[in-house]
Amino acid sequence: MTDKYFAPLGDEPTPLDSFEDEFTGALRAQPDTAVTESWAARAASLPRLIRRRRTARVTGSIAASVALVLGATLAVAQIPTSVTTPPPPPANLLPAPEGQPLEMNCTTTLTDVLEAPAAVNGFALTDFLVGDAGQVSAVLNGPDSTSATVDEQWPLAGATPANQYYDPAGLGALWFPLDAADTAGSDAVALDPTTTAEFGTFPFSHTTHPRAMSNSEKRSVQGGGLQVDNELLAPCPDTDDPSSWTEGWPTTISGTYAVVGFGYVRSPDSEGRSGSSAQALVAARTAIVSVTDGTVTVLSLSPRSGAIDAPTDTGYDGAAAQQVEPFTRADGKSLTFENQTAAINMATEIDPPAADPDRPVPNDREVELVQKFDTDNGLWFARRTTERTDDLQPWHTQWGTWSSADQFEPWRDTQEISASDARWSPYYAVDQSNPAQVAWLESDGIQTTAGPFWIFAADALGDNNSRLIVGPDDTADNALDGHQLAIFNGRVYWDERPLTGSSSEHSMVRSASLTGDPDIRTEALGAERPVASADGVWVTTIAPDTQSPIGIGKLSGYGFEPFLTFTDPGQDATDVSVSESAIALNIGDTIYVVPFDLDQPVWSVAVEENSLTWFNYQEDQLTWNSEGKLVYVATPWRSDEINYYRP
Amino acid sequence: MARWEQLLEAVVADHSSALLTYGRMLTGNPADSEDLLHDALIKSFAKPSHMFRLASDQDEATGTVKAVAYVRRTMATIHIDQHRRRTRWFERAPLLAVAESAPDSTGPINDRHDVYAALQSLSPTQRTCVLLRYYDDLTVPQIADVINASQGTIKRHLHDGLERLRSAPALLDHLPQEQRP
Repeated sequence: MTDKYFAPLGDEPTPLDSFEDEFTGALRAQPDTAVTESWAARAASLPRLIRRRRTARVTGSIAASVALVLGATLAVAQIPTSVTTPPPPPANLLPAPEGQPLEMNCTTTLTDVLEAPAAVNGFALTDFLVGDAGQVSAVLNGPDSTSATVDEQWPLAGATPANQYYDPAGLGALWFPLDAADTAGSDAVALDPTTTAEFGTFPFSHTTHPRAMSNSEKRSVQGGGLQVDNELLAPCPDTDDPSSWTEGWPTTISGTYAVVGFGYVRSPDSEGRSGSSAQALVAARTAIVSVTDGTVTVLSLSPRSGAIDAPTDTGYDGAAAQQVEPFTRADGKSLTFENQTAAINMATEIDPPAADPDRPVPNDREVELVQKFDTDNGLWFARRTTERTDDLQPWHTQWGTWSSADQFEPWRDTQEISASDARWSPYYAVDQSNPAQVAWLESDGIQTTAGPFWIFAADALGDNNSRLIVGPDDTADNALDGHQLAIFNGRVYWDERPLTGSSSEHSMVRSASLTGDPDIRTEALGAERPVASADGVWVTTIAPDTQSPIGIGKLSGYGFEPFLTFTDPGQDATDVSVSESAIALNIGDTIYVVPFDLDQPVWSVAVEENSLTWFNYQEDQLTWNSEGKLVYVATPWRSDEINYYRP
Repeated sequence: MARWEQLLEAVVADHSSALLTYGRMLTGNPADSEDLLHDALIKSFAKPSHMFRLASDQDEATGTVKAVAYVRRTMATIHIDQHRRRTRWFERAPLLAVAESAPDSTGPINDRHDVYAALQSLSPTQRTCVLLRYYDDLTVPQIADVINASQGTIKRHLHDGLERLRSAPALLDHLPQEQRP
């Protein structure tokens, strides 16, 4: 159990002193920035972008309402069949962003493309991944294959049609030679631009680009499907040298081919920005074609399938937009997600829970009862916080026990154990096992992300027994990561990171014995946010280069067990809460409850944008707070209802 | 031309420079400032409510002033949201470095380099709070509302931000002798 310390509310800051006055004047006296040509160009496009966003909001709302009535599944299922004619070139309707350096995204692009299934003439392209040499990288499942399915859940990085873009570099095709419509032929090839230009309106009236093309080594027929083994799926041609586009690939071909044409988007998180973010395949179309003397004849053409709707008179209606799932199992296998956003729209108000009649009120108003110990003697873990007199900031925190008989009984003052400037105590953890133990952190600065810190511990039933677990000498040159403490199996866990050095030095999770023995361990490098459960400590793993979260796993005392892998390393995984059967986490504005049994669906709910302030998952009940100061309550998997109350 | 388009045109034509300056104080560099303003304008004007209702009831000049204030507020919220999404060490590390700026020992704090350098010594959250407090003249409750945090948190950020500003080399000489560290 962890918590954070929140400063008491107050009025205005103290009146401005001369420094603040002067600084205020300096801020407001800053000369205006000269408008650059690049800004002028971007500003000129604003009305068009805003108009589209406004249109998308309206149509998106309508689509959402329809989906609520008919069911999202039905709405999605209608997408492919609704496309009866090839759409006009999207690039003519949507602006193309600046191209990305090829070397940055070539492999990523291929992965996104190849992970997306497509269907052609009874075949479903699945399990199409960039793999190691000699490994299976693609399977075209035939009609006889037991896994011949078409998955309509196209990955799309949370983008709406209004902020999706095509550019020529976002279109491509993969060609798979067939001896006949359902048999494998010779090696797969990619076409050069000249040849594909003759291909006319397939798939988007664009010349397919050779960047993301396959040069597969071999394929074979297995289990009713066409299997493509690959070792050259990610060659990145030199963008500055068009002649390299066709190097190694035939400029003329003949025969019968299965062709998968695709489009993908980039920069889905911001309209018009050239910055890179996730890319995702949004549409694909497949065909069986015959090529003779440079002339391509379409023998069979599947409906276009994907996350972008066919344009209507008023533009794209957004009904087909899909949301990419933010994480998978640690082994890369996908999870099933059940979203409860519809339920939150129908949430009913309930009475707030009654105040705990067993929660006493201390006589000393500075004493806060933090947590009741699981004992029968009415003993509470408590703290008394003294504020600074000048600005009422929390400054000195004293921990101890409280009972109605003895009131607050502070443990030994930690300043007597390790003296320093005044310290405050923002984080603590309680272990209710017998005997109950507590640990808390103290910092000598209100800002806890830098500077020395101490961790102390005490036994709940002990007498005046505060003891130092970790001191500044143990964490020299490191800063507190500022998340939380966790207790598991007699040890306290925390996260810290180097104060100096390159960005390759990243956060670590460390632990120490609650007995105070000097056996501090570094449990995991590249990890942060320890949260204790009954069988381990859950941590968020981060990429060593970008420091972005990349997954969640567990330290169980027997090493690290990976649990989830985030599909978008740039996303922000914030808090984690663990119960006996599942782990809850939020990514952006969505809360996910992931059962430890990953064969079961993930329960998720998207809350109002930027409204989530906290959530807690305890005893199979999820509660969260919205910006509107409402507390929502749900019991994932047990009930379809979501309720709320006004605290 | 719709009313909102007229308003957007006025904001962009007459206030881009000032808003880009505000964005640079938030983000620390011109390129990010442009991105921030771009996003804020889209976010502000794409909402068919609030600012448009607010602006349509005013005369043009008043409406523009209020729209600019709204955009500035949106820039702050976007900036703080981006920071919350990417609160990672590699972003914080540079902020703990001492700003490279020679102190200006004469006159008021009016050199833009001093101010920019000092602002960049703050964390993104501190910087946002400081700007909302001392540039936009918002109260603590108003700042708490804008960036969706408790008032206690805002006070802490303001306190820590000011402490860091007081110790910033660029601004040190502007402190009274008895207040210098």
